[in-house]
Amino acid sequence: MRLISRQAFTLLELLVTVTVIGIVSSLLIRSTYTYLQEQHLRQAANELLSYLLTARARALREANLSGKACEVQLNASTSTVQATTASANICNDSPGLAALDLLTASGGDALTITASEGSSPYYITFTRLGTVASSNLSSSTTITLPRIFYLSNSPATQMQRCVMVDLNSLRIGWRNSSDTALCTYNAN
Amino acid sequence: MQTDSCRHWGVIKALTPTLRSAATIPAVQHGYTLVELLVGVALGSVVMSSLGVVLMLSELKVSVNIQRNLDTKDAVNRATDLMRREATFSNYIADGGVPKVGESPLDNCVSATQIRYLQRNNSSDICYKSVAPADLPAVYQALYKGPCVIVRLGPPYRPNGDLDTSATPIAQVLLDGIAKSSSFCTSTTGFRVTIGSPDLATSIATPIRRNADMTITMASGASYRFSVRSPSNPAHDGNSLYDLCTTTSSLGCAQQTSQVTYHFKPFMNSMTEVGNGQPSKENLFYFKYPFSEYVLKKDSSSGTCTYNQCYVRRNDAAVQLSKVDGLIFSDQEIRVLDEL
Repeated sequence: MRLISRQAFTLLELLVTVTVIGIVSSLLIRSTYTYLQEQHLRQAANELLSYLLTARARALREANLSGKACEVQLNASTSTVQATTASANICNDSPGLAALDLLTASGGDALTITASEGSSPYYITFTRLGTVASSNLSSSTTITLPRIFYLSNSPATQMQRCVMVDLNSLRIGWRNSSDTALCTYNAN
Repeated sequence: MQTDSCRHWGVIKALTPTLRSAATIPAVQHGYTLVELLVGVALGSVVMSSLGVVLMLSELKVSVNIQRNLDTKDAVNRATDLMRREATFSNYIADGGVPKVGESPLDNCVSATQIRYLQRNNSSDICYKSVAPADLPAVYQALYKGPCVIVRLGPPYRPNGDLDTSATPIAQVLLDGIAKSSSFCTSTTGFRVTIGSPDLATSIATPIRRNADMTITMASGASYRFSVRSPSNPAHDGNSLYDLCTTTSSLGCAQQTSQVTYHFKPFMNSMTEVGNGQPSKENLFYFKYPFSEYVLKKDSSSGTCTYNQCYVRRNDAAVQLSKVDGLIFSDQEIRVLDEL
């Protein structure tokens, strides 16, 4: 009678395999979660930029005839951006520029918004030339420089998103949240 | 009838058994084992997925480049629009001199700049200059990629879009990513300005120039050329110079802007008014109504309007002018370079 040898995994092998799979899975899940968080943050920054571009376009299109400007305010505590109720605000005239909830844009992730200068709410006024009013920009004695908004989420991911509002341009960039270096923007 | 195969079998039967067995085709079939197939499929997958990734990255790179080019064009268009618009508010354009290495870039049109728009009030002049980000305040240097940026020096804008000429002039970066020559930003490599010739009938010591051609070359190599013109009747935030004149003196209105241009606003309330331009100046005469409402002659009797003699009549009012460089009507301006 022939003995049939049946080979199988030992308990130790199984345990090692399960452990390895567990470690790999946890790393994968964590990196996926981080990736999604960063995507949400990027989405929120893109939405903010898009909102500002819309406001600027409206100022260029309509403010020249009315003698008004388009003024929006970014409220860091509620993570919303909306047209102010100032009477000379073309973006508040009907149909007003609808408010944007950046929390929704970020997929519900908690957002922290800070700026290079000033305190919330931050005002941004687009003139009829499409430029940003100098009073909205950070300033030194000799030069008026851009105001930069930093967007980060909670729990904080490695990347922060930056939206730069300059005299004549709006740009989006990023920086490592672990340092205080200025943001990196795409070159023209 | 025998078929070919039967004939062949007959031949084979006639052979010896050894030869018969040798002539028979063996039933063994050669093929790939499962392991070979799996390895093959795995290798194929790796190669195909690598190709896919390469193609995807290439596609992504192309779309990023397209978007970047669009962003650049948008930024340049916005900058040139502002430069054109600001030229229409200026009284004339001046060559800012030849910027030199080491000059302070942020001293508000005091030192040489590539182009300068002169305003009614000298303190509100606007000029543009190409500088290196390293010349900006240290904390902000990393904001701009460079290698050069175009800086606008001049009065800031109020929220309603008007120039705040009462405010302290400031410097603002207008455009990033400007090309650089081998050594410095103020060369003509990235931002080249060619000031046009003066459009005057006579030669004066410091002639007015109103046209300029500019070329902006980006670090990427893309080049954008455009022209600006400072009109004889500058818009001044929506108000013509005629409206800004508060004195209706034939010796020039109160908005006389500089030592080289005189602005005159004739009364046009009699048939005997005389308006004499100043020698060695650019003399501009302003009229309230459209050109079509006026009759232009050399004098009250006949002839053609010239630099030395120009008679302008509307209904029962007229003025006899001399030394006329420009006639500015509400709808157009006429340069009197020669006989009209």
